[in-house]
Amino acid sequence: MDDRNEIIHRLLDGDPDEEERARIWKRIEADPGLAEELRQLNGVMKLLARSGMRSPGADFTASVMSRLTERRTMHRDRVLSFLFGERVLRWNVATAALAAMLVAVTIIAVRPSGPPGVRTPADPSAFPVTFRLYAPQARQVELAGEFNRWQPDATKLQPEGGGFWSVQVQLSPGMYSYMFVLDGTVWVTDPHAELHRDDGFGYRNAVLRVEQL
Amino acid sequence: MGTEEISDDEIIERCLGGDRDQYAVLVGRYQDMAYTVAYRMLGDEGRARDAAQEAFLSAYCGLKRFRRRSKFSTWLISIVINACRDQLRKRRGTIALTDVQDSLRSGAADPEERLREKERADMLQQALLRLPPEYREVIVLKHIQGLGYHEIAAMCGEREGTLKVRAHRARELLRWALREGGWNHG
Repeated sequence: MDDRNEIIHRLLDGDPDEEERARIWKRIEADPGLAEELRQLNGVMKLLARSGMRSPGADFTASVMSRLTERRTMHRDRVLSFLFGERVLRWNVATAALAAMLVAVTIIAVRPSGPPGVRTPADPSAFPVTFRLYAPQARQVELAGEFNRWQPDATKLQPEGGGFWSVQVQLSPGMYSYMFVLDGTVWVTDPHAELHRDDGFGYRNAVLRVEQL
Repeated sequence: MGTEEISDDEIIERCLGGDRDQYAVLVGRYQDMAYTVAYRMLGDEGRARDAAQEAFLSAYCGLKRFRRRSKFSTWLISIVINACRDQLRKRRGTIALTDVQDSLRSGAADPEERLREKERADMLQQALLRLPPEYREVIVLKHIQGLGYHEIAAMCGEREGTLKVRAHRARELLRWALREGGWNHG
């Protein structure tokens, strides 16, 4: 791009200060070719600016909302199928041993400890479960999951010192997806979770299994 | 409080709180903008509608990751642009320069002037489609949506200087394409 074009485009982008703009205008006034180029480019800009908004049609919003429902239903069906679908399991001694270890880890993870947590359901089968995260840089850590309808501000972790945060929540037996939220904006998957589950929208939730002892 | 008075942030909070129906308010608010960007990028009404719908669905799924560093509308445009890039990748080399059925809303009452305006709009769309996609993006975002270079830079992950060079070249190419199409730049 030569210098003549450059100054016109600088003008169109609104870059020059008042002094430079005055110099450019002086140059344009003295150069009919440059003035014609500017006229044409201004015409292009006007045409673009006047091209206006277009409407996708009156049914667009309804269509998006309907597809949203479809997508969520498909996601729910996939999860239900994963959880409750019938499947044939092939096993050997090694697989059985691994399964037994997982059960043992789960039981240890949900072993009752300490005072009641932030959520105390009437269900007498609820266990106190401690969620803990190491986040030394965080000013605030919250917990969002299926047990609090994914509302982070409902369950705040308390600093334990040394960069650790924790909170205790009463949970009935079941499977719960959850994530931590740092400083109200950054969603973090629990790196130490026993299980993870794709949420169908490109993210991975941590999953906690709470079982009856 | 009517939905017109509710801020985007408030609606997003409600959606995140489980009130999914509130999202329809956001869709209604920005559907023309999303569709216009997609149409200018793709030049095909059906594909533009698909891209805009995909963008709204992706935006909904990503609401909890929306950082609020930008306006919702700016964030949505970046998702629309990505959806358009996907569409363009899928049909690389097969961009139709015809089949542009522009139904531009015209304020002109005179049928002849309306016709002239439609011709100009068709010519503009065809000229836009002749630009390389990365040039078209800058032109659509800068001169049709009126975004600043700093916003586009954040959206596209490019340097402002690079975007300005693309805009300069794109304007020159548009001028050339429109002149070739018989427009007198008036």
